[in-house]
Amino acid sequence: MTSMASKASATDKAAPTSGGIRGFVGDNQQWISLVMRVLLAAMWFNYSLGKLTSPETNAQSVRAFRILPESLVSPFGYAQPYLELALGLLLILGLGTRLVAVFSALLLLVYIGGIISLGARGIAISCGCGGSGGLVPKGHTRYTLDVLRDLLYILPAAWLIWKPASKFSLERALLGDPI
Amino acid sequence: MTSTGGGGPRRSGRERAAEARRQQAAADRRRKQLVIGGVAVAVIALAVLIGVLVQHNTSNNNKKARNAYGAGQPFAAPAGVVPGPGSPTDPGAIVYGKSEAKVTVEVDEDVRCPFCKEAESFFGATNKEYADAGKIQVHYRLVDLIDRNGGGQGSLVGGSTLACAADVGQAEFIAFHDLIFKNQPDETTDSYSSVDTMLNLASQVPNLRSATFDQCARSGKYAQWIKDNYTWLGKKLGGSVGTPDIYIDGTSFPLQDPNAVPGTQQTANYKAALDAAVAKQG
Repeated sequence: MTSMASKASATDKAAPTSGGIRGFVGDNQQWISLVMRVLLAAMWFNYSLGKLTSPETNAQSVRAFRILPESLVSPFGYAQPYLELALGLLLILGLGTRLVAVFSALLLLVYIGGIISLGARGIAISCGCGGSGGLVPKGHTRYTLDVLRDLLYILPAAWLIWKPASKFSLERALLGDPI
Repeated sequence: MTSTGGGGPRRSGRERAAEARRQQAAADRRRKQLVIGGVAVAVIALAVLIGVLVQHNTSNNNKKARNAYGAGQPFAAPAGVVPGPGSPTDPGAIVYGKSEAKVTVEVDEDVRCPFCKEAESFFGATNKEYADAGKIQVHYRLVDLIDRNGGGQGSLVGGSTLACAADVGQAEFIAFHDLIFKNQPDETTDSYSSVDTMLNLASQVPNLRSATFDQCARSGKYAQWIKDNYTWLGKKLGGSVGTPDIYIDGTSFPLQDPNAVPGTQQTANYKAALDAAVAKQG
């Protein structure tokens, strides 16, 4: 039995990587990583640009979460769109991809935690996720959707943590790898 | 054995040189990766720093503008506020209604706040009707929430000018109050920050404007009263001030989303809540 099993696994390894989903992923991993980079970057640009033009409104959204102390609300509200913009830029350039992906995933987890805590505390706001926020009367929120969307965006981040090497990335050019 | 170091099979000089080159290349690669990671972290840190600096600058400018209006004026409360002047913590709220009314309605609001306008459109007429009938007394507490959160000074200038109307009389105050909310600009348009805009609006209320009233508005006589009311509410609510806040004999009556509960329904609910409070007081 054991010899059979080891034999089977040996043939598995010997099989070319060009068949099935695994083969497809193996052959095109760097292209898939490129798509993930662009996806995640697009998300950060989308999150950032809406807030960048109206930082006070964003600070107001942050305040509405009632998590941060008042002294940190405005600095966070102002810094947040710049941070998101920086993450997007680094992803598009392909610089420090794995690090940026870790950062992205952590930030998304913070957002998700914030939204869940809103629901748990029964605070009714338009959470400003992606766009701008503000207090919204009860019954008009869509926290489940917001959480699902942010969870969905964690997928490309997770992929990039796993497989950061991708086509057309600045870091591979700098390292002298084929881009 | 000792010359190969690792205890493995003896290797040729060429193999050793290739191994050394590989190790050198790997070390170079690691160093480059470290530098790349460092650059990425530096970019992220720089972005956060820029955001914080922009915030610091904006908030300083806002503070300067806010402090300019009513600068040098000592604290003063409009006529007839409750609790009366001299209360060490509560700056007082403007009263509309008769003294015999047993039910107290407190309205915490900001003349710039859009939800306050909505609440006013649903409950304003009812407040006036019930107060005029002697059933309730309405206490208006004005704050500068939107200025603090969104910059500008429309809450402060608009609110102070409205407070000046309380010195003239209840009828003038409530008429000006209605007018201010009916004409409220978009939250991001800070037209109420102009005293002239406020005075032009005040001209529509009979018997309101006078040299005293204009002077009261221009000097920002009640600016400190509004700021102190914000501080007072912040302490009372534990830090987070939201407007509008409506309390019927101390019990909160929340404004609801008009898409979920139509305005007419909310007005009916409000009347029912007021009737219940009046019945309870006998």
